[in-house]
Amino acid sequence: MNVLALRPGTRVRVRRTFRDFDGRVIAAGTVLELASYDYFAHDGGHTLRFVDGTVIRLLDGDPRSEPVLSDPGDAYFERVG
Amino acid sequence: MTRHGIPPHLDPDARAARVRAAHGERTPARDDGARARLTRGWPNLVELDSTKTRDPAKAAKKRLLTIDPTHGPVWARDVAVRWLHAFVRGLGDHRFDPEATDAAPALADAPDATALRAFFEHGFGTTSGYPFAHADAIFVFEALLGPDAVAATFAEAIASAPADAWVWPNATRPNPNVRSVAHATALGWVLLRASEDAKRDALAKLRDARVRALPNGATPPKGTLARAIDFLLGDALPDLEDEPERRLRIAHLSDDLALARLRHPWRLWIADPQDHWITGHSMPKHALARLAVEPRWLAAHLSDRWAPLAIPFTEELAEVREELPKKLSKKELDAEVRALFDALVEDVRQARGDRSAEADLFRRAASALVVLRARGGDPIPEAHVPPILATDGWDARTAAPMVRLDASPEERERWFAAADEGSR
Repeated sequence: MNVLALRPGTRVRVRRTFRDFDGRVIAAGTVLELASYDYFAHDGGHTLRFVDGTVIRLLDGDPRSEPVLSDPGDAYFERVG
Repeated sequence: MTRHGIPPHLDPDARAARVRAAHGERTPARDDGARARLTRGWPNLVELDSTKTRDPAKAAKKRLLTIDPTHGPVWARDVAVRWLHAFVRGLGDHRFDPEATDAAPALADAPDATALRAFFEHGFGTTSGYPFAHADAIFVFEALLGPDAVAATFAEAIASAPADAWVWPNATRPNPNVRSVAHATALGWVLLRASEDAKRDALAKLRDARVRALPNGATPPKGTLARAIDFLLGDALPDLEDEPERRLRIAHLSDDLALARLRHPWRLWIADPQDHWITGHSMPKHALARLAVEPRWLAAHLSDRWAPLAIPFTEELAEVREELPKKLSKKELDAEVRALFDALVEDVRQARGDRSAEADLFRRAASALVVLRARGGDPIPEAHVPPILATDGWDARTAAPMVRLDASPEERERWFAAADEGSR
């Protein structure tokens, strides 16, 4: 699902392993519950904070981040619960 | 630069952009946006190519002289003390009326309180505790009383804050800690220039008060005065992605924190020009040259400070970007700025005290100076010009000339010389 559709409290399972803009590996199978979302307009930066302390940063226009941001066909995130 | 068709300065927290995005109005990836930045590297990437540091006290003194070279040093000490107490009492309260305090008679006593009143009112014209809104007034107090006395006054005000202000969460209204957090922010700013002894005394006073307020040593929640004081004491680091905490950056102004901001992935949003200044690192020349023709918008919290003056420059900046004029060398820039100021001095002379004509002259000169500085490699000329021309020449909110129209030709020459010096 598109990360912009995530709302605080939404639980998702990672379906495909990916690296975020910081190079952090987010492993397939991880279940995450969104705590907050921030957008930094100057940089086009998305920051997703999860309840377990995980932070994912994604950048508009970054070849590595773009597929995760748009997530066509729920390739990266699926809603659970 | 826009996101989802909305300029960031109009949508500082990107809420509108997110709403549009959620409805599928997503701007497609563009060649001139983030992708281009990635291709050619971050435009403000820091290169640790310099070990130079700048003396904040010297900079503050220069800034004060630029603000008011004529009257800055002559206000009486007792006048300044009374104004400082009124200032401390009203900080963080935009409804505060200085005329209703014991500062009112002091105002009448002051040799020329026009500029002081303008700084004072400007500080209260903004609702946040962000120190740059109050910096002008604080510089004036520091010049008259010394940073040590100003720091002690702020520390005393914080130490005497009511107990509930220490742990009151920021999100709850009415909020008794807004003023105290503003004091903490201002104190962080003043401590940059205070002596080591004054700094030690002020921090000891804060530590005692902190222990009294939270005797069990618990970690204070976000948005509380206790957490702000922890930043001041160096016991905690602000969360850079949290706007209210980021605003308190000045309260914990260290090289480490400035570097953390410059190294953060969202550095264009999070870092400010003063981070380069603090760390003594300069941008690489090729990045400056590139930014010269694409000046970026100020971050929202800085736009508060410059908004009345930045907006008229939009057209000029767009022109610079479109026409891609020849970049000016330092020598050419100096010559152009000198010619601009010579012409301005002559024009002001010919205006013979006509206020509207002078305001128009200053406005046009400020616009011209923005364009020149952009061509000379200044990445944010709209931020640098107001202190040179507009803040001195205008009242920022009314765009009325603040230059003393009854000044003698010699005084006026001194003012222009100071402004010219400041533009280099």
